[in-house]
Amino acid sequence: MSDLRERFQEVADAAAREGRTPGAAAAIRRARQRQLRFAGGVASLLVVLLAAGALLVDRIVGGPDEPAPLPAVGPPSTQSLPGTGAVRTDQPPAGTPEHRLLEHMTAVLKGCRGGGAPELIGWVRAHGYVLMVAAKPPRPGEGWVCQVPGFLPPDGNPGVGPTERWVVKGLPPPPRKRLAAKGSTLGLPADRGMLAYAQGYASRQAARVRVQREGGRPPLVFGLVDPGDRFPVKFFMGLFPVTPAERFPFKVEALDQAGRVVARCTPGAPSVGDCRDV
Amino acid sequence: MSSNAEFEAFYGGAVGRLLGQLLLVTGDLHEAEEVVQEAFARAFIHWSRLRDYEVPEAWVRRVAMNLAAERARRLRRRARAILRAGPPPHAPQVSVEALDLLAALRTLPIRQRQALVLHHLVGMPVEEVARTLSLPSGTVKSSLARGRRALAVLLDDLEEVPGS
Repeated sequence: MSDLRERFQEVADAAAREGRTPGAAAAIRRARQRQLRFAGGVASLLVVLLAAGALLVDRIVGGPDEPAPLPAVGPPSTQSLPGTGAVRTDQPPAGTPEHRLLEHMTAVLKGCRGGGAPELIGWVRAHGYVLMVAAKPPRPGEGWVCQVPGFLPPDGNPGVGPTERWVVKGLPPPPRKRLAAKGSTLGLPADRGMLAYAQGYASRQAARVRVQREGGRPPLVFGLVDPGDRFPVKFFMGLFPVTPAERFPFKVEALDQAGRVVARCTPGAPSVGDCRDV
Repeated sequence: MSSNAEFEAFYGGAVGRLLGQLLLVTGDLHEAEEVVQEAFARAFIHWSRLRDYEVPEAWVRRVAMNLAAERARRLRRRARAILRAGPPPHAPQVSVEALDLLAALRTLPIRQRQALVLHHLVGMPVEEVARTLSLPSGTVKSSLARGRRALAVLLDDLEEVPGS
Protein backbone atom coordinates (compact mmCIF):
# COMPACT_ATOMS: atom_id res chain seq x y z
CA MET A 1 0.00 0.00 0.00
CA SER A 2 2.63 2.45 -1.13
CA ASP A 3 0.07 5.26 -1.59
CA LEU A 4 -0.81 5.03 2.10
CA ARG A 5 2.83 4.96 3.08
CA GLU A 6 3.53 8.06 0.98
CA ARG A 7 0.65 9.92 2.56
CA PHE A 8 1.73 8.88 6.03
CA GLN A 9 5.22 10.06 5.20
CA GLU A 10 3.99 13.46 4.01
CA VAL A 11 2.14 14.07 7.27
CA ALA A 12 5.04 12.74 9.34
CA ASP A 13 7.53 14.95 7.52
CA ALA A 14 5.32 18.00 8.10
CA ALA A 15 5.07 17.18 11.81
CA ALA A 16 8.83 16.79 12.06
CA ARG A 17 9.21 20.15 10.33
CA GLU A 18 6.61 22.09 12.30
CA GLY A 19 6.45 20.25 15.61
CA ARG A 20 7.75 22.32 18.50
CA THR A 21 8.88 20.17 21.36
CA PRO A 22 10.69 22.20 23.97
CA GLY A 23 13.92 20.27 23.49
CA ALA A 24 16.04 17.70 25.25
CA ALA A 25 16.86 20.04 28.13
CA ALA A 26 13.15 20.43 28.88
CA ALA A 27 12.68 16.65 28.83
CA ILE A 28 15.57 16.32 31.29
CA ARG A 29 14.03 19.01 33.53
CA ARG A 30 10.66 17.26 33.41
CA ALA A 31 12.29 13.96 34.31
CA ARG A 32 14.13 15.52 37.24
CA GLN A 33 10.98 17.26 38.48
CA ARG A 34 9.19 13.91 38.38
CA GLN A 35 11.98 12.28 40.37
CA LEU A 36 11.83 15.13 42.89
CA ARG A 37 8.05 14.88 43.12
CA PHE A 38 8.35 11.15 43.71
CA ALA A 39 10.88 11.74 46.47
CA GLY A 40 8.66 14.49 47.87
CA GLY A 41 5.64 12.20 47.70
CA VAL A 42 7.43 9.54 49.70
CA ALA A 43 8.48 12.15 52.25
CA SER A 44 4.93 13.56 52.40
CA LEU A 45 3.54 10.09 52.91
CA LEU A 46 5.90 9.60 55.85
CA VAL A 47 4.84 12.96 57.29
CA VAL A 48 1.16 12.07 56.87
CA LEU A 49 1.71 8.72 58.56
CA LEU A 50 3.54 10.38 61.43
CA ALA A 51 0.81 13.04 61.74
CA ALA A 52 -1.90 10.39 61.67
CA GLY A 53 -0.07 8.52 64.39
CA ALA A 54 0.22 11.67 66.47
CA LEU A 55 -3.48 12.46 65.95
CA LEU A 56 -4.42 8.97 67.01
CA VAL A 57 -2.38 9.35 70.19
CA ASP A 58 -3.99 12.77 70.75
CA ARG A 59 -7.50 11.28 70.35
CA ILE A 60 -6.67 8.49 72.72
CA VAL A 61 -5.54 10.93 75.41
CA GLY A 62 -8.55 13.23 74.70
CA GLY A 63 -6.89 16.29 73.07
CA PRO A 64 -9.12 19.06 71.57
CA ASP A 65 -9.89 19.32 67.81
CA GLU A 66 -8.65 22.48 66.05
CA PRO A 67 -10.92 23.64 63.19
CA ALA A 68 -9.10 23.82 59.86
CA PRO A 69 -8.96 27.31 58.28
CA LEU A 70 -11.07 27.77 55.16
CA PRO A 71 -9.28 28.85 51.98
CA ALA A 72 -9.55 32.55 51.24
CA VAL A 73 -11.55 33.50 48.15
CA GLY A 74 -11.30 36.91 46.48
CA PRO A 75 -14.43 38.91 45.68
CA PRO A 76 -16.05 38.16 42.31
CA SER A 77 -15.51 40.59 39.50
CA THR A 78 -18.46 42.78 38.59
CA GLN A 79 -17.90 42.53 34.81
CA SER A 80 -21.32 41.03 34.29
CA LEU A 81 -22.78 40.78 30.82
CA PRO A 82 -26.35 39.76 30.15
CA GLY A 83 -26.56 36.18 28.96
CA THR A 84 -22.85 35.52 28.89
CA GLY A 85 -22.05 34.88 32.54
CA ALA A 86 -20.14 37.12 34.93
CA VAL A 87 -16.38 36.99 34.46
CA ARG A 88 -14.55 36.23 37.67
CA THR A 89 -10.85 36.77 38.03
CA ASP A 90 -10.40 35.39 41.55
CA GLN A 91 -8.67 32.07 42.11
CA PRO A 92 -11.18 29.26 42.52
CA PRO A 93 -11.08 27.74 46.02
CA ALA A 94 -8.69 24.82 46.48
CA GLY A 95 -10.32 21.45 46.23
CA THR A 96 -13.10 22.58 43.90
CA PRO A 97 -13.54 21.23 40.34
CA GLU A 98 -12.71 24.73 39.09
CA HIS A 99 -9.40 24.65 40.94
CA ARG A 100 -8.59 21.24 39.50
CA LEU A 101 -9.41 22.56 36.04
CA LEU A 102 -7.03 25.48 36.60
CA GLU A 103 -4.29 23.09 37.74
CA HIS A 104 -4.83 21.01 34.63
CA MET A 105 -4.69 24.11 32.42
CA THR A 106 -1.54 25.32 34.15
CA ALA A 107 0.12 21.99 33.41
CA VAL A 108 -0.95 22.24 29.76
CA LEU A 109 0.34 25.80 29.52
CA LYS A 110 3.73 24.76 30.82
CA GLY A 111 4.07 22.76 27.62
CA CYS A 112 3.79 25.93 25.55
CA ARG A 113 7.15 27.34 24.62
CA GLY A 114 8.20 30.63 26.14
CA GLY A 115 6.27 33.00 28.34
CA GLY A 116 6.35 33.65 32.06
CA ALA A 117 4.51 31.76 34.76
CA PRO A 118 0.96 30.66 33.87
CA GLU A 119 -1.76 32.98 35.17
CA LEU A 120 -5.49 32.67 35.54
CA ILE A 121 -7.12 35.27 33.29
CA GLY A 122 -10.71 34.66 34.28
CA TRP A 123 -13.63 32.28 34.33
CA VAL A 124 -17.34 32.40 33.72
CA ARG A 125 -20.11 30.09 34.79
CA ALA A 126 -23.34 29.96 32.82
CA HIS A 127 -25.96 27.30 32.22
CA GLY A 128 -24.03 24.79 34.30
CA TYR A 129 -20.82 25.14 32.28
CA VAL A 130 -17.61 26.84 33.32
CA LEU A 131 -15.30 28.38 30.73
CA MET A 132 -11.88 29.31 32.09
CA VAL A 133 -8.93 31.01 30.39
CA ALA A 134 -5.32 30.93 31.52
CA ALA A 135 -2.30 32.40 29.76
CA LYS A 136 1.40 33.10 30.08
CA PRO A 137 2.67 36.66 29.63
CA PRO A 138 5.18 36.83 26.78
CA ARG A 139 8.77 37.50 27.66
CA PRO A 140 10.66 40.29 25.91
CA GLY A 141 11.18 39.50 22.25
CA GLU A 142 8.47 36.82 22.14
CA GLY A 143 5.89 37.53 19.47
CA TRP A 144 3.16 35.23 20.76
CA VAL A 145 0.84 34.64 23.68
CA CYS A 146 0.42 31.16 25.12
CA GLN A 147 -3.17 30.82 26.25
CA VAL A 148 -5.53 27.95 26.82
CA PRO A 149 -9.29 27.71 27.33
CA GLY A 150 -10.66 25.06 29.68
CA PHE A 151 -14.19 23.77 30.02
CA LEU A 152 -15.99 22.28 32.98
CA PRO A 153 -19.28 20.70 31.98
CA PRO A 154 -22.13 20.15 34.43
CA ASP A 155 -20.84 16.67 35.28
CA GLY A 156 -17.55 18.15 36.46
CA ASN A 157 -15.10 16.45 34.10
CA PRO A 158 -12.60 19.01 32.87
CA GLY A 159 -11.67 19.27 29.22
CA VAL A 160 -8.83 21.52 28.26
CA GLY A 161 -8.33 22.78 24.75
CA PRO A 162 -4.98 22.56 23.05
CA THR A 163 -2.44 25.17 24.04
CA GLU A 164 -2.18 27.82 21.44
CA ARG A 165 0.49 30.21 20.46
CA TRP A 166 -1.55 33.05 19.15
CA VAL A 167 0.84 35.29 17.44
CA VAL A 168 0.88 38.92 18.43
CA LYS A 169 2.96 40.37 15.67
CA GLY A 170 5.21 43.34 15.87
CA LEU A 171 6.02 43.62 19.57
CA PRO A 172 6.79 46.26 20.71
CA PRO A 173 4.63 48.25 20.30
CA PRO A 174 1.45 46.24 19.81
CA PRO A 175 -0.19 47.04 16.49
CA ARG A 176 -3.30 49.15 16.50
CA LYS A 177 -5.73 46.52 15.18
CA ARG A 178 -5.57 43.15 16.78
CA LEU A 179 -8.15 40.49 17.49
CA ALA A 180 -8.08 36.75 17.98
CA ALA A 181 -11.16 34.70 18.74
CA LYS A 182 -12.28 31.13 19.12
CA GLY A 183 -15.74 29.80 19.36
CA SER A 184 -17.84 26.74 18.97
CA THR A 185 -20.94 25.09 20.31
CA LEU A 186 -21.24 22.84 23.33
CA GLY A 187 -24.02 20.32 23.81
CA LEU A 188 -25.94 20.48 27.06
CA PRO A 189 -26.79 17.16 28.67
CA ALA A 190 -30.20 15.55 28.30
CA ASP A 191 -30.96 17.53 25.14
CA ARG A 192 -31.36 20.75 27.05
CA GLY A 193 -30.26 22.67 23.97
CA MET A 194 -26.97 24.12 22.88
CA LEU A 195 -24.53 26.58 24.35
CA ALA A 196 -21.88 28.46 22.46
CA TYR A 197 -18.66 29.90 23.70
CA ALA A 198 -16.59 32.76 22.36
CA GLN A 199 -13.17 33.44 23.74
CA GLY A 200 -10.07 35.27 22.69
CA TYR A 201 -8.17 38.48 23.05
CA ALA A 202 -8.08 41.96 21.58
CA SER A 203 -5.47 44.68 21.49
CA ARG A 204 -5.17 46.89 24.55
CA GLN A 205 -6.75 49.68 22.50
CA ALA A 206 -10.07 47.77 22.37
CA ALA A 207 -12.67 48.52 25.01
CA ARG A 208 -15.08 45.66 24.36
CA VAL A 209 -15.87 42.90 21.92
CA ARG A 210 -19.14 42.34 20.08
CA VAL A 211 -20.34 38.97 18.82
CA GLN A 212 -22.65 39.32 15.83
CA ARG A 213 -25.07 36.42 15.55
CA GLU A 214 -26.97 34.98 12.66
CA GLY A 215 -30.71 35.17 12.06
CA GLY A 216 -31.23 38.71 13.29
CA ARG A 217 -30.58 37.80 16.92
CA PRO A 218 -29.26 40.72 18.93
CA PRO A 219 -25.47 40.94 19.24
CA LEU A 220 -23.72 40.11 22.49
CA VAL A 221 -21.21 42.49 23.97
CA PHE A 222 -18.31 41.15 26.02
CA GLY A 223 -16.22 43.19 28.38
CA LEU A 224 -12.47 42.69 28.31
CA VAL A 225 -10.42 41.33 31.17
CA ASP A 226 -7.26 43.37 31.57
CA PRO A 227 -4.65 41.15 33.20
CA GLY A 228 -2.19 44.06 33.43
CA ASP A 229 0.70 45.40 31.43
CA ARG A 230 2.52 42.08 31.47
CA PHE A 231 0.20 41.09 28.64
CA PRO A 232 0.09 43.00 25.33
CA VAL A 233 -3.62 42.15 25.00
CA LYS A 234 -6.88 41.99 26.94
CA PHE A 235 -8.99 38.84 27.02
CA PHE A 236 -12.68 38.05 26.65
CA MET A 237 -14.76 34.97 27.31
CA GLY A 238 -18.43 34.12 27.44
CA LEU A 239 -21.02 31.37 27.24
CA PHE A 240 -24.44 31.91 25.73
CA PRO A 241 -27.38 29.75 24.60
CA VAL A 242 -27.91 29.21 20.90
CA THR A 243 -30.64 27.59 18.88
CA PRO A 244 -29.86 24.41 16.93
CA ALA A 245 -30.22 26.38 13.70
CA GLU A 246 -27.81 29.06 14.86
CA ARG A 247 -24.32 27.94 14.10
CA PHE A 248 -20.86 29.29 13.72
CA PRO A 249 -19.35 31.22 12.12
CA PHE A 250 -20.24 34.20 14.25
CA LYS A 251 -18.61 37.49 13.52
CA VAL A 252 -16.51 38.91 16.31
CA GLU A 253 -15.64 42.60 16.38
CA ALA A 254 -13.35 44.55 18.65
CA LEU A 255 -14.63 48.03 19.48
CA ASP A 256 -12.72 50.98 20.86
CA GLN A 257 -13.96 53.37 23.56
CA ALA A 258 -15.95 55.36 20.97
CA GLY A 259 -17.68 52.20 19.70
CA ARG A 260 -15.73 52.08 16.45
CA VAL A 261 -14.91 48.65 15.03
CA VAL A 262 -11.13 48.34 15.12
CA ALA A 263 -10.87 44.66 14.14
CA ARG A 264 -13.20 41.97 12.93
CA CYS A 265 -12.91 38.23 12.45
CA THR A 266 -14.99 35.11 12.06
CA PRO A 267 -14.10 32.12 14.22
CA GLY A 268 -14.42 28.87 12.39
CA ALA A 269 -13.68 30.25 8.94
CA PRO A 270 -12.65 28.65 6.74
CA SER A 271 -11.74 25.40 8.47
CA VAL A 272 -10.13 26.21 11.79
CA GLY A 273 -11.76 27.31 15.00
CA ASP A 274 -9.90 30.53 15.50
CA CYS A 275 -9.28 33.75 13.66
CA ARG A 276 -6.83 36.55 13.82
CA ASP A 277 -6.88 40.23 13.21
CA VAL A 278 -8.40 41.58 10.02
CA MET B 1 30.51 11.98 25.84
CA SER B 2 28.54 12.71 29.04
CA SER B 3 25.25 10.95 29.74
CA ASN B 4 23.26 14.17 29.23
CA ALA B 5 25.05 14.93 25.97
CA GLU B 6 24.35 11.41 24.76
CA PHE B 7 20.69 11.80 25.65
CA GLU B 8 20.52 15.16 23.90
CA ALA B 9 22.05 13.68 20.75
CA PHE B 10 19.60 10.79 20.87
CA TYR B 11 16.70 13.22 21.40
CA GLY B 12 17.78 15.41 18.49
CA GLY B 13 17.99 12.45 16.15
CA ALA B 14 14.70 10.80 17.07
CA VAL B 15 12.25 13.53 18.08
CA GLY B 16 11.18 14.51 14.55
CA ARG B 17 10.51 10.94 13.47
CA LEU B 18 8.51 10.18 16.60
CA LEU B 19 6.50 13.39 16.27
CA GLY B 20 5.47 12.38 12.76
CA GLN B 21 4.43 8.92 13.87
CA LEU B 22 2.52 10.17 16.90
CA LEU B 23 0.75 12.90 14.95
CA LEU B 24 -0.76 10.18 12.76
CA VAL B 25 -1.81 8.25 15.86
CA THR B 26 -3.18 11.16 17.91
CA GLY B 27 -4.44 13.32 15.05
CA ASP B 28 -3.30 16.48 16.83
CA LEU B 29 0.13 18.03 16.65
CA HIS B 30 0.01 19.48 20.19
CA GLU B 31 -1.09 16.12 21.57
CA ALA B 32 1.73 14.42 19.66
CA GLU B 33 4.25 16.94 21.02
CA GLU B 34 3.03 16.30 24.56
CA VAL B 35 3.19 12.51 24.45
CA VAL B 36 6.56 12.50 22.70
CA GLN B 37 8.02 14.93 25.23
CA GLU B 38 6.63 12.88 28.12
CA ALA B 39 8.04 9.69 26.61
CA PHE B 40 11.47 11.32 26.32
CA ALA B 41 11.27 12.51 29.94
CA ARG B 42 10.60 8.93 31.01
CA ALA B 43 13.42 7.76 28.79
CA PHE B 44 15.81 10.11 30.57
CA ILE B 45 14.85 8.61 33.93
CA HIS B 46 15.90 5.19 32.59
CA TRP B 47 18.70 6.48 30.37
CA SER B 48 21.49 4.65 32.18
CA ARG B 49 19.83 1.40 31.04
CA LEU B 50 18.37 2.58 27.72
CA ARG B 51 21.65 3.94 26.42
CA ASP B 52 22.88 0.37 26.06
CA TYR B 53 19.86 -0.71 24.03
CA GLU B 54 20.40 -1.36 20.37
CA VAL B 55 17.46 0.89 19.44
CA PRO B 56 16.43 3.12 22.38
CA GLU B 57 14.05 4.89 20.01
CA ALA B 58 11.86 1.76 19.97
CA TRP B 59 11.46 2.05 23.76
CA VAL B 60 10.46 5.71 23.51
CA ARG B 61 8.06 4.94 20.65
CA ARG B 62 6.41 2.21 22.66
CA VAL B 63 6.00 4.48 25.70
CA ALA B 64 4.63 7.28 23.50
CA MET B 65 2.16 4.88 21.83
CA ASN B 66 0.97 3.68 25.25
CA LEU B 67 0.62 7.26 26.47
CA ALA B 68 -1.37 8.16 23.36
CA ALA B 69 -3.72 5.22 23.92
CA GLU B 70 -4.07 6.05 27.62
CA ARG B 71 -4.88 9.69 26.86
CA ALA B 72 -7.34 8.69 24.15
CA ARG B 73 -9.17 6.44 26.61
CA ARG B 74 -9.21 9.21 29.23
CA LEU B 75 -10.54 11.70 26.70
CA ARG B 76 -13.24 9.30 25.62
CA ARG B 77 -14.46 9.07 29.18
CA ARG B 78 -14.81 12.85 29.37
CA ALA B 79 -17.76 14.82 28.08
CA ARG B 80 -17.92 13.70 24.47
CA ALA B 81 -19.99 16.68 23.42
CA ILE B 82 -17.31 19.09 24.54
CA LEU B 83 -14.59 17.24 22.74
CA ARG B 84 -16.64 17.02 19.59
CA ALA B 85 -17.52 20.69 19.65
CA GLY B 86 -14.33 22.01 21.20
CA PRO B 87 -11.46 23.61 19.36
CA PRO B 88 -10.39 21.60 16.31
CA PRO B 89 -7.20 19.53 16.35
CA HIS B 90 -4.00 21.28 15.43
CA ALA B 91 -2.52 19.96 12.21
CA PRO B 92 0.66 21.01 10.42
CA GLN B 93 0.60 22.65 7.00
CA VAL B 94 0.11 19.79 4.57
CA SER B 95 -1.80 19.07 1.37
CA VAL B 96 -5.57 18.72 1.34
CA GLU B 97 -5.13 14.98 0.75
CA ALA B 98 -2.94 14.66 3.82
CA LEU B 99 -5.45 16.62 5.92
CA ASP B 100 -8.16 14.26 4.68
CA LEU B 101 -5.99 11.35 5.74
CA LEU B 102 -5.55 12.82 9.23
CA ALA B 103 -9.28 13.40 9.53
CA ALA B 104 -10.01 9.86 8.35
CA LEU B 105 -7.47 8.38 10.76
CA ARG B 106 -9.09 10.21 13.68
CA THR B 107 -12.29 8.24 13.08
CA LEU B 108 -10.52 4.90 13.58
CA PRO B 109 -9.99 3.23 16.97
CA ILE B 110 -6.57 4.10 18.37
CA ARG B 111 -5.31 0.50 18.13
CA GLN B 112 -6.01 0.49 14.38
CA ARG B 113 -4.21 3.81 13.96
CA GLN B 114 -1.22 2.52 15.92
CA ALA B 115 -1.07 -0.69 13.90
CA LEU B 116 -1.33 1.17 10.58
CA VAL B 117 1.40 3.65 11.51
CA LEU B 118 3.80 1.07 12.89
CA HIS B 119 3.30 -1.26 9.94
CA HIS B 120 3.00 1.14 7.01
CA LEU B 121 5.12 4.09 8.15
CA VAL B 122 7.70 2.62 10.52
CA GLY B 123 7.85 -0.52 8.38
CA MET B 124 7.52 -3.04 11.19
CA PRO B 125 6.44 -6.61 10.36
CA VAL B 126 3.18 -7.72 11.96
CA GLU B 127 4.97 -9.69 14.69
CA GLU B 128 6.96 -6.65 15.77
CA VAL B 129 3.83 -4.47 15.78
CA ALA B 130 2.23 -7.11 17.99
CA ARG B 131 5.17 -7.03 20.40
CA THR B 132 5.19 -3.22 20.49
CA LEU B 133 1.47 -2.99 21.21
CA SER B 134 1.38 -6.09 23.44
CA LEU B 135 -1.30 -7.64 21.26
CA PRO B 136 -1.63 -11.06 19.60
CA SER B 137 -0.49 -11.14 15.96
CA GLY B 138 -3.99 -12.09 14.84
CA THR B 139 -5.43 -8.99 16.48
CA VAL B 140 -2.85 -6.83 14.73
CA LYS B 141 -3.63 -8.45 11.38
CA SER B 142 -7.34 -7.84 11.78
CA SER B 143 -6.71 -4.27 13.00
CA LEU B 144 -4.62 -3.61 9.91
CA ALA B 145 -7.24 -5.09 7.60
CA ARG B 146 -10.10 -3.16 9.22
CA GLY B 147 -8.10 0.04 9.30
CA ARG B 148 -7.14 -0.20 5.64
CA ARG B 149 -10.69 -1.01 4.66
CA ALA B 150 -12.04 1.95 6.63
CA LEU B 151 -9.46 4.30 5.15
CA ALA B 152 -10.23 3.07 1.64
CA VAL B 153 -13.90 3.88 2.18
CA LEU B 154 -13.20 7.25 3.78
CA LEU B 155 -10.58 8.24 1.22
CA ASP B 156 -12.13 7.09 -2.01
CA ASP B 157 -9.00 7.91 -3.99
CA LEU B 158 -6.95 5.52 -1.86
CA GLU B 159 -6.63 2.16 -3.51
CA GLU B 160 -7.36 -0.72 -1.14
CA VAL B 161 -4.85 -3.48 -1.58
CA PRO B 162 -4.16 -6.35 0.75
CA GLY B 163 -1.33 -5.63 3.18
CA SER B 164 1.32 -8.03 4.22
